[in-house]
This record gives sequence, C-alpha cells and structure tokens, in this order.
Amino acid sequence: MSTNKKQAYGAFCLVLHSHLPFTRKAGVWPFGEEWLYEGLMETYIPLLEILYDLKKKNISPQFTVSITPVLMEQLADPYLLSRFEQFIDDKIRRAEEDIKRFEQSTNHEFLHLAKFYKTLFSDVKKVYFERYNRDVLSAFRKLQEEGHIEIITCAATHGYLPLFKRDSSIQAQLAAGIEVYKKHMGTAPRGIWLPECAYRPGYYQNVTKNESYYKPGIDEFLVKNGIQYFISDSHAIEGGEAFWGGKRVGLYGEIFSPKIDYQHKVQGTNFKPYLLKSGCTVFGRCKDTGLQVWSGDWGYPADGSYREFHKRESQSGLQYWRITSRQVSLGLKEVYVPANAIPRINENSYHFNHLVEGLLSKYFHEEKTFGMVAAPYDTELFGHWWFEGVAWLKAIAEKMYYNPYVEQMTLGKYLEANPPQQVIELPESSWGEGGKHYVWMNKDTEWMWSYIDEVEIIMENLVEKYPQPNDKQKEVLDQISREVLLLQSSDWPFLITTGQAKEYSSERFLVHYQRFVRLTDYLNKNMCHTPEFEDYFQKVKDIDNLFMDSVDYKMYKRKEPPPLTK
Amino acid sequence: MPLVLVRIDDRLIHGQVVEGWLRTIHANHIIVANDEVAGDEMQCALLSLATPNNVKLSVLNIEQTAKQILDNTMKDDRVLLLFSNPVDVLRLVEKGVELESINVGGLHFYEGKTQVSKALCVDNKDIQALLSLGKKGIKLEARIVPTDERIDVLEMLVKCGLLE
Repeated sequence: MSTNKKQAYGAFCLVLHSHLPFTRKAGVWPFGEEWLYEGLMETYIPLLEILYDLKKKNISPQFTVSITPVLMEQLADPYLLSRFEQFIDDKIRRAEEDIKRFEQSTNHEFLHLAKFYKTLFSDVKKVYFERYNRDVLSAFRKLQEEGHIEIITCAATHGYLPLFKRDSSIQAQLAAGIEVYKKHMGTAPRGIWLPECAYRPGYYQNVTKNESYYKPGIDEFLVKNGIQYFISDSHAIEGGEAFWGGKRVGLYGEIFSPKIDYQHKVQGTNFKPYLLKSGCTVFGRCKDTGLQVWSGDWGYPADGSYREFHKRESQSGLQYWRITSRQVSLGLKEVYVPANAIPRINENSYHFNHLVEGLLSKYFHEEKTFGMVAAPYDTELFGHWWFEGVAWLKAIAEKMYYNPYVEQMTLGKYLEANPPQQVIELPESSWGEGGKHYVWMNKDTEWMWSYIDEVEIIMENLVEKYPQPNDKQKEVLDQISREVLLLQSSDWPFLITTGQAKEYSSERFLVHYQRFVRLTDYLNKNMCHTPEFEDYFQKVKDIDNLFMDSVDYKMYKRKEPPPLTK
Repeated sequence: MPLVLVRIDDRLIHGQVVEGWLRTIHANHIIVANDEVAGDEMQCALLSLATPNNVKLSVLNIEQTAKQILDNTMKDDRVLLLFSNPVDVLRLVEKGVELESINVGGLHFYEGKTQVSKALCVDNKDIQALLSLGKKGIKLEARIVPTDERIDVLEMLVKCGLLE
C-alpha cells in the first residue's frame, strides 16, 4: 500500500541503470576513457544536481539507481578523475574558442550557443569541485543514506550471466560486484540490476546418457549472495512478443535482431512483483513507459526541438543543431534553440505523469490493488544521448510529487510495503533486442564464447592447483581473476554486434585474454620471481587496477561437477 | 527412468551421498542394486533411515534393477543408481542396460585389497569387472564429491601397475 498519499493508485518506481565499460589507459577517443568523461559531464553530475535540487525543495526523488561495480571503481579512480578535469577544461576552452570565432563571423545563433556551452561546462566544473569535492560516488552514497534514492548493484564487470558455462563465473561476478558495492557504499545491496536483465532459470545439465546435475537459476545465486530482488523485461512476465522498442537509442546505437514470441510462456502482470521459488523477487519492466522514452520514432527524445546528438561542429566538436525531424538528414538540421526545448520538456513530463497515473488508475480500478510501474532506463540516455533528459527527469519527479494519485517509491521501499503474493516461473530472457541472447551470441560474437568457456575452466583448475599460494602467487592469481572479469564484460560482444566499436572491442577482449594467458603461464612455470615478469606484472596491474580489495581468485572455486574430459 | 548418476560406493547411502551428491544431481529416487541387501530386511530398514524424506528408496536385486530400467518404469523420476561393487555393475550391463559413465566413489580397504587412491581399494575381481566395463566404452571416473576432478580409474590402475 501507499505510505504517504492516501489517494494514490499505485507507485512509480524509476530505475536508472548506470554502466560504462572499463577504459582506464585503454584508449581515449573515439573509444575509451572519453566515454567516462562524457558520462560524468553530461549525465552523472547533472543527475546529482537535480537530485540535490529536488532534495532542497523537500522533494525526495525516490529513484532506484544502479551503478555497476566497474563504473564505481572508475568514478573513484584518482587517475581517471584528474583526466576528467583536463577533459572539462578542454571543453570550456573549445567553447571559448567558438565564442571568439562566432563573434568574428557574426553568427549570432551559434555565438549564443557557444556561450550557453561555456556556462554549462563551467557550472559542471564548479559543482564537481565545490559541491561534490571531486567525489561523485560519495554524493550518490549520501543521497542513499538520507533515504532519497536506493542504489542497487550489478555483476562486477556487467558480465552476461546466462551465457557463462560455469557456475563459478556467475558466482565470481556477483561476489566481486557485491564486495565492490560494500566498499563504496558501506552497506550490502538489497537489489541488483542483472546485466541486460538477462536471466535463466535452473535446468538439468546432461553430462552423459546417465549423468546429469542441476544448474541453479540466476535467482538462486542472487539469494545465496543476499540479494532480495532484480528486474526483468516485460515479456518475461507478461508473455507475448519481446519488447523491442523500434530503433532503440542505446549507448551504442541501433541494433536489429530476430524477434522471439513468448506468447505461450507466462501470463503475469508487470503491475506487481512476483516471488520466484528461490525466494527472490522479480519486478517486470513496464512496456508503455519504456516505449514512450525508448522509441526512436515517437519517444520523447525524438522531439524535433531537442538537441541532435549526431551532428557536431567541425572545429570544436560541440553540438549546435536540433533534431528538427527524424526525416531530415544531418546536413539539413536546424540550429538548436535551448529555450524552445523547455516547453517540450514540460509537455513531455506532463504527458508522462499522466501516462503513469492512467496506467496505475486502470490497474487499481480493475484489480482493487495498489500496483506499481517499474520504469528502468540506461542512465546515460539522460543528458548524454538525450541532452534534455536530465531536466525531464527533474520535471517528472516534481510533477509526480504533486500528483495525489502517484506515489514515487524505490523498488526496495515498494517491496517492503508490498511483498509479493504470487510465485512465478520466468523463462530465459533479456531486455536485448529479440528478448533473449542474440545480441551477445550470434555469428559475429560466437568466437568470443569459446575463449570465455576455456578461461572459465582454467580458472577453476587454478583454484584447485593453488589451494595455499604464497603471497606473490596470490597476488598474481588475483590479477588473473581481474583479467577474467574484464574479459567477461558483456560490452565487448555488444559493441561488436552493434558495429559501433567492433575493432576496439575485439582488441580489448583479446588483450585481456592475452594478459590472462601470459600471467597464467608465468605462474605455472614458477617464474613470478623474475625481473621480466615483475616488469610485465606492474604494467598490467597499473592498467587493470580495479577491484583491488574486492577480488579473491577463490571466488572461482568449482561449484559443479567438472566437465567430462575427452 | 532417467538415470542421473550411477555410483559405486560400498557404504551405499551415507552423508557424502546425501549431502554432497543428492544436492547436486537432484535425484528424487535412489535405487540400491544389491542381491544381498535386497534380501535383508534389517539392511533395507537401515538404508531407509539414511534416505531423506523427500527421496524415494528402492532396494532391488540386480535382476529386478535391470527389469525396472529396461521397462522404463518410473520415467518421471531422477534416479541415483547405487552399487557396492563393480562386479554388480557388470552383471547389470550384461543384462542389457546401457551405461555411458560410472562414478567410482568409494571402495574401502579390507584384507586382500590394494589401495589405489584415498577412497579406492580394489581386488582382482574388482579390477577385472572395471576392465570389462571399460572395454564396453563406459567411462569410469573416480570422484568422492561432485566437484572433485574426474580421475580416469583405468589409467589410475595402470599407473599403480595393476593393469597393463
């Protein structure tokens, strides 16, 4: 039931999933560290600004925010933060140079925008230093501690859990991820964002004609690790065709894949959470609120008044044009007018508020139950891809605060107040295009999985081989584990499938594999005391320095029968 | 009747089987295949006490076991088939039951046996039965608990000089 608004029909649970791949010292532009800097400047800091502004107005936003462990580590990395500070100074410099150029050319529209950007970037720099003391992660943590948001965790490097052959890899991704969360947040997480909402139930693995064993479902791992809930895609609960959202504006562009029909799978509703047999709770994504934002054709971000992401000024790289229309080519885009975007934000947020109220009202009147709308999105959509998105988030939080029929709640608070009453079985699913695993496993990426499968087995064998390593061996084994976690990032196959960073991702994947192989080789040949090894090892540790206190190679201890040897 | 594990363990049902193996293989039916035990009410009762409440237990002689498997009764069950020695397994296979793999879990020492590994002690009858099973293409692997390495039993016997 509602805790604050007596007339409320139900709860609105916004979920923002924040993730970027690990890019420390692995390229800058067009692929690499700049993803993090853009994320900070355009999304995470502006998001903090609106959250703190809402708090100042006594509006508790009640957002559920997932921050992946790999992103947490990067947000806390002094090297990356100092590089971010250089990045933002560079942005300010570019805006200043544009101001000079446009003053001379009497291009008033662009001049106005260049000044707009200079102010914008300078403001971000100011709050980053003065309000947040260069510590964005602590700023999020404070909001959680004060009860305004709930931060949930994710697998360590956003590994695509259902495609791992070995349970030890699933366990290691979760255990390492939870340790990182505890390190930065000072408490254990209650909820998790499964990477890509990818889920698989338990099943029996056949080894021979007369040997088989049970592989636990992803939810059973979650329960074992103290996690109470996760989110799945709409179709996994409602049945029917998987939501594909048309031309989805994700971080890496548009992707297409075959559709899978879940018509006969399950028939639940996404207006309430369900219990799985393991005891874990699942919340289903609301299709309507998803489409309204994600649809590339008619979702809010496609509004002609909003800033065009893809067109950049040739000298400064700043963005001076508006979408104008989806049918208009980049060459004919019109100049962006920030003031014209403001009424659109207002209208879009009003529409969204009304949409959510309508959905909850219908469910309430039909079922006589306080329902909920879970609306998850990639955080980076707001501010980075959809420039006006963060302002829109603030607007919907404000409108819903004043809406007597909608209660804003985090998923954890909703769960406390409204524990699930029914049990459901979920099919294997994801929120990827097509609803299953195609985006990560297809003809372009299947080669990667044979490497990952091999590495998973080797890791288990290393744990067996080194039950009591000396200090140096332990250090090496832990670094090997980090390479495995990085190799297992779902980003690499994703970027290959979308075609946005095909070569970069293949290279990154192979680099981590190579580091894994080389370190393992040194270890097994008992060469970890040599100067040659130490030189190589220090270089690797400097680059892949994440999870330093949070990884133990024994996380890869075998959890199931070993595969049959041929 | 899907067999989910065929195991040789001379202690038949005990803690390791219940706590280790059953949790992994999710068997809901244990068949103990042993002529002597099948005819001994006291031993059957003791086995029943060792079996968890949610797991069915059948104690059958080799003939009955073969018939149950070949007739495909209990087809919805997940069956752990337990033997106390390799000779009985060979008898079952010679009655037409097709097996692909056998887990050799525990053959303990007594006089006349040679210790091959921590949990594997064999005499000549055991060796000949294991060899015959191996010649039929059946994989014989030694594992005490499910997550142990699979050790090839025949290779182990060769290393110990008990087989050529």
